[in-house]
Amino acid sequence: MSSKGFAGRTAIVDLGTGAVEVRRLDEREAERFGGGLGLCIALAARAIPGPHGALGQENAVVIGAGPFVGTDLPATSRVYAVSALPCSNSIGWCGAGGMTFGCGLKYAGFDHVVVKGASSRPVYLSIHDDGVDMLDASWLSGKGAGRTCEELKARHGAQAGVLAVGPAGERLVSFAMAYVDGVSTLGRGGLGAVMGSKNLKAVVAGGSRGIGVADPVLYRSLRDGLVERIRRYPYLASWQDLGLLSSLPVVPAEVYRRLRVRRLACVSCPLGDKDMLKIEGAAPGDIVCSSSAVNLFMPLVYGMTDPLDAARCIARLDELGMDMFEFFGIMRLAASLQEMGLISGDPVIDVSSPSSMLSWADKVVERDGVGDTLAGGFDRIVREFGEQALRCAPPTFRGMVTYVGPLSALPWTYFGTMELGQILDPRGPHVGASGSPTYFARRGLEVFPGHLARMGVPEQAVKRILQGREGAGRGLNVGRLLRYSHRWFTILGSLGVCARAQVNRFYSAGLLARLYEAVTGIPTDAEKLAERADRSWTLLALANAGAGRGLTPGEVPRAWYGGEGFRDYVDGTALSLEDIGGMIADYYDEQGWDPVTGRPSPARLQELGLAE
Amino acid sequence: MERDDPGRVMQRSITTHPEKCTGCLRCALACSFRHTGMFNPMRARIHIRMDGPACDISFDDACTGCLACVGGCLYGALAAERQREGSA
Repeated sequence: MSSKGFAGRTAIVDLGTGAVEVRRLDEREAERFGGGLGLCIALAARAIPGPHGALGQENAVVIGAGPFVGTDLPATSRVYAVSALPCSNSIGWCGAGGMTFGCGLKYAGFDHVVVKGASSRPVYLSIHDDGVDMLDASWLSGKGAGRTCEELKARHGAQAGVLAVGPAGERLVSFAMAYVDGVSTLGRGGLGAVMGSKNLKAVVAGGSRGIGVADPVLYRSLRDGLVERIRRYPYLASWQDLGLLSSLPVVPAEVYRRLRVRRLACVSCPLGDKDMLKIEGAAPGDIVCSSSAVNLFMPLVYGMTDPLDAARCIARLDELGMDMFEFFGIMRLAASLQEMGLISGDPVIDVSSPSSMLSWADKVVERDGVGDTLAGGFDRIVREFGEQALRCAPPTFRGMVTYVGPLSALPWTYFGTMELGQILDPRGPHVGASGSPTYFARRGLEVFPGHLARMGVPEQAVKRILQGREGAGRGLNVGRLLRYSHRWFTILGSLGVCARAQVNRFYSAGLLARLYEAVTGIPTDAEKLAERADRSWTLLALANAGAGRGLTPGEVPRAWYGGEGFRDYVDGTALSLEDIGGMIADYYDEQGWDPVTGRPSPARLQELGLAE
Repeated sequence: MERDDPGRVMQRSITTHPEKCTGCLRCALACSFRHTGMFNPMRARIHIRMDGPACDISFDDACTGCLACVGGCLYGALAAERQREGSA
């Protein structure tokens, strides 16, 4: 199997002892879970004792890339990590555009690395052709995520990929993230803090090994057809020009174009949806890179008025290594608590003020005064301030802000899979519609059958999805649709394909199966891909359900239902708690899980070979 | 190794536009696969160097002008020219 899609090796690193074990890829496991995200979940289920204790030595971080990563199939650079996360107290997946990191891991000869234990001093891992080195990182301590990336590339070569945390991760800020090549974000929910708890500043990966394919003739034929379809896509030029700004125009296009230096792409991506902007005063040389310009301008939705100030603020958060949605959600709550006289500290907390936010970002990372409480996230704030904090908190779920929906940063109204997915994914709220057509609001139902067929949804399930809630007739059953969106997302993630709507639209389940066979040589059809994804996703649910973390309707954020809450995706009627509870039960039912507890049923576990 | 300037037509009939390059390395991946049967930009005959805002596209002496890199590029940073000599 080596060099046919899979690099062929897994590294197990114990940061406590410094021991590095290199294992040959378990081919049976690769076939059972597909690779990439699926194998990350399988490895994590064995390495992580449970969803709690994210910052303890017993937690592990599993990082991996799928069999398509490193090839030239379009948009196949995804890198995943699975770990217990401190914000949600769940074992969650983390995913990012891999820039050069995912490929670097593969070219070094590794598909996955499992990081266990904790070092007594700051270290970073260098993954290369000959193995894995644990190296001193004291010279990087306190440096920003982007700066760390630059310095490690200078030391290990520009083609090496770098996964790094900033000072927020080092200081265990619960909503710290990791950054890939200083551009993509990995690990909403606190992966950066997990790395910090292990004294792991960064992982560098790169090598000279090649990734081959099992059937070059079939591969070329399938790839060329795919690339030609992308080349003919009528919106390709506009997506390459504006990226996510096309659908989320937080600033006028002319403002963006004036600031843009160039678009950036993950390896093999046809859209180039990352950005390099020139923002005076935001960074050394005034050059700022981001996973999207939309992110840089996001403080405008919190009331900032100057796009340059907004970008400077996010550039600072990125360098510190903090999740912007969580930071701004917490600062909104902190502003209310300050108005009530419950917390003190200068300056006045004002989410529309760049100077206030920059000052408080430093206080949180320095854990200065009340900044220490804020660094602990919503759960810590509520523990310290009780009912008063609960009353003025934004909608949250399992300790994290739900950034899409009523009273949230993105106040979208219609209830699609991204919205429901915020509470039905074990990791809690995250960005992404899981490749579902509901990414765009209120699409006509006539577009769904084609999309669902592309995603490999069985015909009988398509009927159930389009019967609407409670089978009431024509409509959209978002709970049942989300079940297949999660499957589609897991297929994409296990192979290494980006799930962004503008990219995954070029792939179908049938095409992915043929490509998988051409790349790996493993006999595959769409049904087998689906089964592997179901096995992976169910195992993730099982790893979390063991701690009694099934979702109950009582946990649905109060702002989501009632008059000002979410509305039905199709008919626009206000949703009740019972409506949302019904969708949750439908999701579980469609998965073959217990409709009340959400625990995978014994029969389903037996079908998937997970009963043991 | 040859350096390539914006708009310059090379003997290999490949015109480069570094200002359009996103660093996706699709060109280098296509090149390495064509000539070695394996994917790795380090094995390619085209080299993309992103250094802050600057981008440099260059070809090494082993380049045969097979245009695999042009076929891989979806951003217009590489283009094939019919004439083998001349200015862009």
